[in-house]
Amino acid sequence: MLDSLPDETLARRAQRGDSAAFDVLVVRHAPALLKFVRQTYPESSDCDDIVQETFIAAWKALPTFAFRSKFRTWLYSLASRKTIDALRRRRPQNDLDSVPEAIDVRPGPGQRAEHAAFLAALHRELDSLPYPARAAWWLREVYDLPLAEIATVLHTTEGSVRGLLQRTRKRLATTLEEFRP
Amino acid sequence: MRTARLYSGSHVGKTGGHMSTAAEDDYEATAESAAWIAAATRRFAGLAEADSDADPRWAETGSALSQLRSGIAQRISALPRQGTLIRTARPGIKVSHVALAKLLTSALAEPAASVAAAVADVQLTITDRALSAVHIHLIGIGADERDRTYIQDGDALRADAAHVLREAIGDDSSAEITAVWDDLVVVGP
Repeated sequence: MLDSLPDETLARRAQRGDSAAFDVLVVRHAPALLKFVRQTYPESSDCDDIVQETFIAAWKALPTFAFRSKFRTWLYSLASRKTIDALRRRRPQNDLDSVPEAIDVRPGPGQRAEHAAFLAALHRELDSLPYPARAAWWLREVYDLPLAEIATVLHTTEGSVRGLLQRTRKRLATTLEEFRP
Repeated sequence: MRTARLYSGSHVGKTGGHMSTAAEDDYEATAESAAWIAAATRRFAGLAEADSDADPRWAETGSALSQLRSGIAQRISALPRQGTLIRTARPGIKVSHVALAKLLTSALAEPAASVAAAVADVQLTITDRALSAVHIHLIGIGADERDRTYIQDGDALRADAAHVLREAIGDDSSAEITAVWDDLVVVGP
C-alpha cells in the first residue's frame, strides 16, 4: 500500500518518524537523484555518498518541511547543497567555476562512434560550466523543471536562473557551433 | 527517449515572468539557438539512462540501492522523532502525537480494510497542547461495487476514530475529525 501513496503523504508520515514510508521515498527517488548528482559532480565514486547524505539531511529536516514546494524539488535542493559542499571540500581554493574531470554519463556502444566527437565536446563544455549553470541546464533541459522549481533547488531567484540559462545557451551555441546539424 | 521541444513564443513566454519584450526576445533567441544542443543533451541523458537502467546496482533489488537503504535505515534509527505532547483527560498524563497517530492508524486499519479501504495517513492538529483536529486520509481499494457510499464508510471510520480517541485521551476531546478519500487504487487483473 505504501508504494501507491504520493510523495507528500509519505513525507508527512516520515515527518512523524515512519521509517517505512521514508524507505519508499528512498527507493522512489534515489536512482534519479544519483543520476542528477552524477551529471553535476565529477567523481562518480563519491556520488553514492552524496545521495546518502542527501537522504539523511532530508530525514533530519523533514519535521520543519512546510510543503511550500514539492517534496521532489526540496530533495533536489538538498542534493544540490550536498554536491556544492562536496565540490568545496574537493577544491577548497576554487570558486566552483570549473570541474576538470569528465562527468560519468556514457553513451551506449551503438551511438558511441557516430557522436563521439560531438559528445566529447558537449561533455567538455558542460563540465567546464560553473555548478549552478550546469545544474540549471540539466534541470531545465533534461528534467524539464520549471524556472521557479530550479530557483528553489538552487536557492536563487527565477531571474538568476533565467540569466544562467541564457548565458549557458549562448556559450554552448558558440562553442559547439561546428557540430550544428 | 524524449523528443526535442519547440521553443515557441508561448512556451518561452510562460517562463518569462516579468521580462521586458526585448529581454524576452533575447531569451527566446538564445533558447532557439541552443535548442539542438538541448535536444542532444536529452538524447545523451537518455543513453545514460538506458545504461543506468541496465546497471543492476541501481535496479530496485540492486546491491547499491540495497546498501543505500540499509545505510540510511541504520543512520535514521539513531535519529528518532520528538513528538509533541497532547493533554489527556487525566491530569498529569500526556500522549505524544507520534504515538497517537500510530495508534489511530493501527486501530483504523481493520475497519478500513473491511470496507475496501486503507488508511494512507492520520494527521493531527494540536493547539495549546490539546488535540484540535484529526484528518484521516483514506484510499479506496478496488473498483468493485460498494455496499455503501464513500460518505457512509467515511462517517463510520470517523466514528471509529472518535471511539479510539475517547479510549486514548478521554472524554473531553473535542477534536474535529474529518475523513478524506485521497485516491482509489485499482489492482490489475
